Amino acid sequence: MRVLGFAGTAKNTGKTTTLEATIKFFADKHKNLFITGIGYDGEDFDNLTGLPKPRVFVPEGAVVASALPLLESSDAKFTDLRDTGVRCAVGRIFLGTATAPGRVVLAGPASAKDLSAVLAFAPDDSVVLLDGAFSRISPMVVADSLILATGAARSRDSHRIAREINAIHKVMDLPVIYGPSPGPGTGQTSGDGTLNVSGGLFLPGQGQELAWRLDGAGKPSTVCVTGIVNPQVFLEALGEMDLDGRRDLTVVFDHPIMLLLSGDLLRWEEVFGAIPEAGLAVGVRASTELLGVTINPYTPTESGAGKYIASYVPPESFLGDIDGLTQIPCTDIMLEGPGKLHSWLEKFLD
Amino acid sequence: MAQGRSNGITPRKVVLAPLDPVHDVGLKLIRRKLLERGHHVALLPPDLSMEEIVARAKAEDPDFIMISRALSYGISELLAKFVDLCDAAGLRERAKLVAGGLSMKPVIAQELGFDAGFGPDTPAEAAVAYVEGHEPGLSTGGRRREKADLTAGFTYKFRDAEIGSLCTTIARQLIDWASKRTSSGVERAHLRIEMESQRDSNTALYPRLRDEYAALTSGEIREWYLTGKPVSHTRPVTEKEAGYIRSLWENADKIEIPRSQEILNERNVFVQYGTGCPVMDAYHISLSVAWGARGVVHFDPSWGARNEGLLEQAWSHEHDGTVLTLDNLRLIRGGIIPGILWQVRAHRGLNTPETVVLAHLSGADLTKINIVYGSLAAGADPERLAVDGVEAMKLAAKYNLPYDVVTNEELAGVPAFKAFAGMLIVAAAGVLLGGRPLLQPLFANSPEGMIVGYTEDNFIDFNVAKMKVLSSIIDAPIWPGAPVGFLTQTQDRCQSSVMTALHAALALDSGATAVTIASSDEAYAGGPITAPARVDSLKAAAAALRFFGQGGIRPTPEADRIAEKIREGILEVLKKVAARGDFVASLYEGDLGDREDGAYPGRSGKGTVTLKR
Repeated sequence: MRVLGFAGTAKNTGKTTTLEATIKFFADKHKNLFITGIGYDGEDFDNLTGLPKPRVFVPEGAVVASALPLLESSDAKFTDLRDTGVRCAVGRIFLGTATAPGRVVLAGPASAKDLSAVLAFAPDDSVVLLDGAFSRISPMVVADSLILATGAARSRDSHRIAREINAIHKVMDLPVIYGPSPGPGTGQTSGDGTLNVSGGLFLPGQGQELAWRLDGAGKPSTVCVTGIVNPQVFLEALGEMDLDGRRDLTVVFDHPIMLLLSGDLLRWEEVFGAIPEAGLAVGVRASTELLGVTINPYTPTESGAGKYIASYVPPESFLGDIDGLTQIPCTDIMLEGPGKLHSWLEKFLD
Repeated sequence: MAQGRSNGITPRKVVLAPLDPVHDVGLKLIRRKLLERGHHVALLPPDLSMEEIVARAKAEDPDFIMISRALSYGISELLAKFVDLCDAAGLRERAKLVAGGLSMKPVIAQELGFDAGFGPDTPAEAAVAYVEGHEPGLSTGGRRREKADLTAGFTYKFRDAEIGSLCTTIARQLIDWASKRTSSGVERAHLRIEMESQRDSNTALYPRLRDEYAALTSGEIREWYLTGKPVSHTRPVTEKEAGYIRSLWENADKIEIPRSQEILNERNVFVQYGTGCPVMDAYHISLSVAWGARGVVHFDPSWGARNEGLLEQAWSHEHDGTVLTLDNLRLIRGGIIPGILWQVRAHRGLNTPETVVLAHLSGADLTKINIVYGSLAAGADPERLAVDGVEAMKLAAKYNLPYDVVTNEELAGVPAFKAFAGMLIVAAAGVLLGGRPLLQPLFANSPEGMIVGYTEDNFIDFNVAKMKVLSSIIDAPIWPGAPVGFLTQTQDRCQSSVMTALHAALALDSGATAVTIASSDEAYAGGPITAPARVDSLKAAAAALRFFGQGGIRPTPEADRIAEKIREGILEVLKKVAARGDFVASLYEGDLGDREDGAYPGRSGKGTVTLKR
């Protein structure tokens, strides 16, 4: 089983369109698909803006995990319905195998815990497609690879979008440092020179506290931080650390996604600027490969209280600006076709 | 801190966190309810960052984290971020995440990644129930699934012996008179019963019966039976349209209603439909049921009352009023889900008995019959409608179909005491024939109210007086309408909704068994009734009922004085009708409403009554 996630930097950034093109790609290759999502997707009209939404079509043979009422009301036909034992906000999540292709609304497990429970049902030889929601990314830690969707719904400023992509790319690209699982955060350096810090670094003051603990912990060689990390708090730690003589210090985080959940993404630019200066090595214990980024020029614009209209930034220049400023491959599927996406998916299969 | 009694409930640890700087009232209410049930509750202050909330929640290690936040496009991203933080912090290994606030609903909660979402319609009890292990479906109201019997518990005994005696005497005379007569309307009703029993039999009998039926029709109806030419402004319902309706009904029984609208279901609030288009009707029925309506009333085109005979097959009508055919009714019937009451009206015109037959065959729960209104303010000849009306009441009794006896002649200017006298006579006849009538006084700013001045100060006294006088005369169900609020509504939807809602609340507060309301654009619709206007009225009515609760509406002493005047008037009219000894003659002579009142004996079907052989 290999899991491919579709995460966005915001709602309406094109996750569903990318998912749809991906389903078609794998269906054409007759792959065994297992499809679910962490939100609510595939409905006719957006629940917040009321604007039309792209639909999710599943091919014959695909296994779909979604809330039972949505499987029952799908125009795809599902058999072999099985209860996963997981409940979401719109009903119990069932598995169904599509005996006829059709449209479906995906409403799957909302938490990483429930997602793991549902994915346990995925056959070993299946390709799992995991649809995201809003800017949610934390459940994507289970994914082997990730396609990120961003666009004008996040920001009409292409330069800002490019900076965010670069920051995310750098975080996702942190090297995996293999080692034993970190123990509890005792505040003491263990025999192998590791200081475990549990509970993350996401509140003001935690960076300073980490620096103090480092100073009093007998010069550890590795600091393992479990939990969420806010770049601002990490900068605070860097600013407070007495780094003299600690040029060999390695900081290991759980997973790059833990670095993308709190604070302003762009502050990671400063962190990555400060790390070489401090002489630190930074890595993660596990990672998810970022295959590429899809760019969507669409953005809903408020046209009165609670009313929205669909609008677009100029697609060519928006994509061109972003593509020129980023190192990771970017594409606008509607503008360029699915060619680049297909190359990422081939890589995923390899 | 937990408090409250020992109640066998496993205490849960709940963190309540307002993400909104000011709107934490809902959470405070939930806190009170949770504490009363013995749960442990930590209500966080409203000025914490999401990260701080996560840290505080980690320290509590709760079973539930409930946040409140009014939703908007931008805020939804923040909520999604909060969900991610909780997930990554490991809180969701144990805790369920719940979101509440304006615009929140289960699908949005799902999209955002919460385990449950409660909107503004959700009472605090639903959140408590969720904490105690119940499924979050409690956020929607419980639609009644049992059929209400609006006539249950009523004895139909006259409490006012003097009026009762007069009504019974007149009713007996009417029944006796009608029993010797018949009409083409009566004959068609019986032909229709036979035709429908033979419809699928493939025998020669059906075409012969149909020919007999066609011979008893008139005008464009007759032309359709003879040549197939559609009646003006109608066209057949297409198979595609019928498919739309059927597909709409597939999930109809899954309709749940918002909690705030449940009160309409409890209090038997009806709406009318009859757009002319069965597809539109289906949508209106679904919409109304989804917003709490307990019953729906089928309106037919006014021309249906003036022409002899009813069409067959399913038809769409260009104007208001949905063509009354068994096929149309059966299409619509699919949406009359368990618990919903359905009335098919037969209260006027030349097809009254046959309409009762169709109501029965299509599975309707109620019908509507009134000889007096139909012949003084709706165009049917009094003699004809007296014969047809009695037959209709006999059929309704046979089919066990309750019916209301409407008094909309008040709208023409007939004073309430005359309209009520007519209604009571017809109701008495109905009871004598074994039927179960419901009294339907008009709740309106009627011409009488304006001219006499009953409604000069308020709209309460006159309407309450009607309820008082009717309930003092007979122990029968009262169902004001239809709909309430005539001549108090305007083109302004807000004003119309308010008037409709207040009249509905007044009716139910005064002891009505049911009430029918209009959509807020119904009185002045320049076109089809719109869905938002429909919802306006239903929401306004629910809000008004919630507002008054058991608090009640207090009439002035004038209500008693008006009630007494109405009773005196009824008595006087009944004495006059009884003295004449001929109910039908009383209709022609204006005893129950005359030209000065604005009532004119109708002429449709004049001269078509024959003595039975």
